[in-house]
Amino acid sequence: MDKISELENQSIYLIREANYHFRNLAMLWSIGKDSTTLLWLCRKAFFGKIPFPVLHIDTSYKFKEIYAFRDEYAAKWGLELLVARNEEALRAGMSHESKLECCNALKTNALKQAIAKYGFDGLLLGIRRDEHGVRAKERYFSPRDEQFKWNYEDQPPELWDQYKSRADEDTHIRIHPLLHWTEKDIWQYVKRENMPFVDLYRAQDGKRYRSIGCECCCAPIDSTAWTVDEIIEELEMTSAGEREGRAQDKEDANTMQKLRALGYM
Amino acid sequence: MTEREHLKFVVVGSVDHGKSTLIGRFLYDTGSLPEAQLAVLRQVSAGTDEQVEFAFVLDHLEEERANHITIDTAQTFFSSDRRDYVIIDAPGHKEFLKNMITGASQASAALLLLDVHEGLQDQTRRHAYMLSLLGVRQLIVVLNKMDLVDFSEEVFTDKAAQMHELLGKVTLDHLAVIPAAALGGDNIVNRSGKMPWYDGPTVIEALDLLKPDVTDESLPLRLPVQDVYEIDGRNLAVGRIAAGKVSKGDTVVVCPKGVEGKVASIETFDGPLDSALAGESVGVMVDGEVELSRGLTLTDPRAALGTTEKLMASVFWMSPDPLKRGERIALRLATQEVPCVVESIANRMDSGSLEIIDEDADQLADTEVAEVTLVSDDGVNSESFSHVPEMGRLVLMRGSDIVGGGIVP
Repeated sequence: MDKISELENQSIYLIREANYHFRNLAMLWSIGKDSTTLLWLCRKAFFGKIPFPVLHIDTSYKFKEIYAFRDEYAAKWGLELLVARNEEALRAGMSHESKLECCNALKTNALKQAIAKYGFDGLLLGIRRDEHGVRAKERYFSPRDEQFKWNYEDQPPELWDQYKSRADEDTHIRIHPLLHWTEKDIWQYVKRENMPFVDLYRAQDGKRYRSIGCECCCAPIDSTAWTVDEIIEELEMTSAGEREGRAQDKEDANTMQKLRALGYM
Repeated sequence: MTEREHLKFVVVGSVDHGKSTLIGRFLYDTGSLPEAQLAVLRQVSAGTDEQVEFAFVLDHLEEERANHITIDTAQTFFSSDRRDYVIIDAPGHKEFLKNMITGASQASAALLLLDVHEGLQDQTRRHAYMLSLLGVRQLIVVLNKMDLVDFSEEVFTDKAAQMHELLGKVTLDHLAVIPAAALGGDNIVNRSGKMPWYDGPTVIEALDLLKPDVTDESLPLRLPVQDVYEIDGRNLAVGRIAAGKVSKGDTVVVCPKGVEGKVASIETFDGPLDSALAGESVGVMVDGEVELSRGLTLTDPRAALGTTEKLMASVFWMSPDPLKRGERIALRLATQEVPCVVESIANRMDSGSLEIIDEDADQLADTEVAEVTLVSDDGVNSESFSHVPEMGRLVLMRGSDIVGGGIVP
C-alpha cells in the first residue's frame, strides 16, 4: 500500500473509533486545507453521510473566501453545520492587539461556550504533528478537563490502536485523525482526490497563503504556485516553516504552548 | 513517480545519554530544520551562539527546556537520499515509561543510545527489554559521547561487548553497533575523522540498511468488526483488515460464534472492491445466518481464531496503582472489550535489572513485567503475537484508562 493510502486508512479507522465511542461527537471545521481534508475523510468513513455536526468557530475576522467556501460545501455535502461565535467578547470589542487574549476569547472561549451549549464529549480536529513542536507531543485521543486544560505532563498511553476513548466526567476528548500527516501529504492527497480547497492557497499577484485563519493575523508568502502540483513543488524547495505567517505562533517562543494549555486547538 | 520508501524509528535509552541531542543533530546535518526554527533555537539556547541547543529541537515544552529533560514522546520527519523517516523521540526517565512505550509501539525500528562514559543503566536494560516485548526487531545501538573517552577503540569494544551480552536474550533481525558523538556530529550523518579504526556504517547509513514494514499477504484473514452501519437498508460491517486478504464471494467464519457466511460485497465510499488487503478500512456485507457486531472477527475458514476463557500474556504495567491478583479488569484486543479476572501473576520481574522478584506474586507494580493469567466468562479471540501481531497484543483498562499492555506468547 502506498503512503497516502496508508494515511487515509488509518485516519478512517480513527474517525470510526471516535464515532463508536462517543455519544455526542462533533468535528471542528476551520475551512482550512487540513480540516477540509478531515471532513473529506469523514464523508468517506460514513459513505457520504456524516452522522455528527460540523462546528465552525467563527471569530468574525476570517477571510470572506472562507465564509463563501463554508456555505457552498455545507450545502453541497449536506452537513449539519453549527457556527459558534463569542458574541459577548465581540460586542465588547475584542480584537487582535493581543494575540494571546484574542485567540483565547474568540477561539478557545467560543469553543467552550459551544461545548457547554451542545454537551459534546468528543471533538474531531485536523491538527498535525509537523505543524508545531508542541503539537508533535499530541496523542490521537487527547483528554481535556472542564477548564480545557491539556495535561501535557501526564498524557495517557496509546498503543496498538488502543486509545483513551472514553471521557471521564467533566472532560471531553479531542481526537486527531490527521496527527501523522505532513503538510506535503495533505497536498498530495488533495491532488489524488481532486479535493476542493479555498483559493487563498493559490498565488495571486505573487503571493499566496500557506496557512489560513483570521485575515488580520495571517501573512501571505511570496509564491507563484497556482496548481496543486506547483504548491507541492514549492514545498519541496522551501526551508521556511508552514505557520511562519501565523502571528499567534511566534509572539514568544512558548506562546503556542501557553495557548494550548488554555485549550487552544 | 515511484513511491518513496518510508520508515518509522524510535530513539530510546537512559536519561542524559543524548537522545534529543542526536535527533537535533540529525535534523540539522540533513538540512531539515526550517530557518525560523533555527532562529528560535538560537534565541532559547541562552545566548550561546556557536553552540545551538540541539536538544531543544524536539523538547518543545517550556518545562522540558528549563530542566533539560524530555517529558513526552514527539515525532518529527526527515529524509535521506534513500527514504523518508519518521523519528519518534522517547523520554528516558523511568517515570515517563508509558510515554516511551507509546512512542516505541508505533515504530518498526529503534536506535538505542548508550553514553559510553556512564555505561549501562537500568533504563538501558528496561528500554531494550520493552523493545523486544513490543516486537521491534531491528535495532541500531549508538555508543554515544565517544568524545568523553578520547574516541578510544578499547572503550568502544568493551561497551559493545556489554551491549551484545544484554541483547543476547532479545530476538532481533538486525543489529548494528556504532561509535558516535552526537554533540559534535561524529558518525551521525557525517563520517568522523576522529575514529579511523572504525570502518562500519554511520548512523544514517545504518538506518538506510533497515527494511521497511511489508504487508504479509500470506497470513490468514483477520477482519475485526469495528462497527455496523445501515446503508440503504442493508447492514454493512466496517473495520480495518488486521491480516490477510478478503475477496468478494469468499466464505468467512465469524469468531467466536463459529458461524459461516459469504462475503456478498466489499464497499468503500469510492465504490465496491473485488478484494481488499491488510491495512485497508472497508465495509463488508455478509450473507448468512449471522448478526454482525463490534468485537466479532471475520476469519479465514481454514484458519479460524481460537476462543479461550483463560488467557496468559506477558504484561507490562503502566500505572502507579498496582495490578492485584483477583482484580476485575477490562481487556481490549483489536475491537474486543471483555471483562476479566486476574487469576495469577507469575514471574514478576524488575524491568530495570531484568531479575525475577517473585515467581507467584500478589501484585504487579509500575514498570514491572509478569506472566499474567486472565479469565473471562465470555472468552477472548486471540492468537500468538509472533503469528499475527494484531491479534496477539492487548491492553488492560481500569475505567477509561489504559493501565497495562500485554503480548500473547
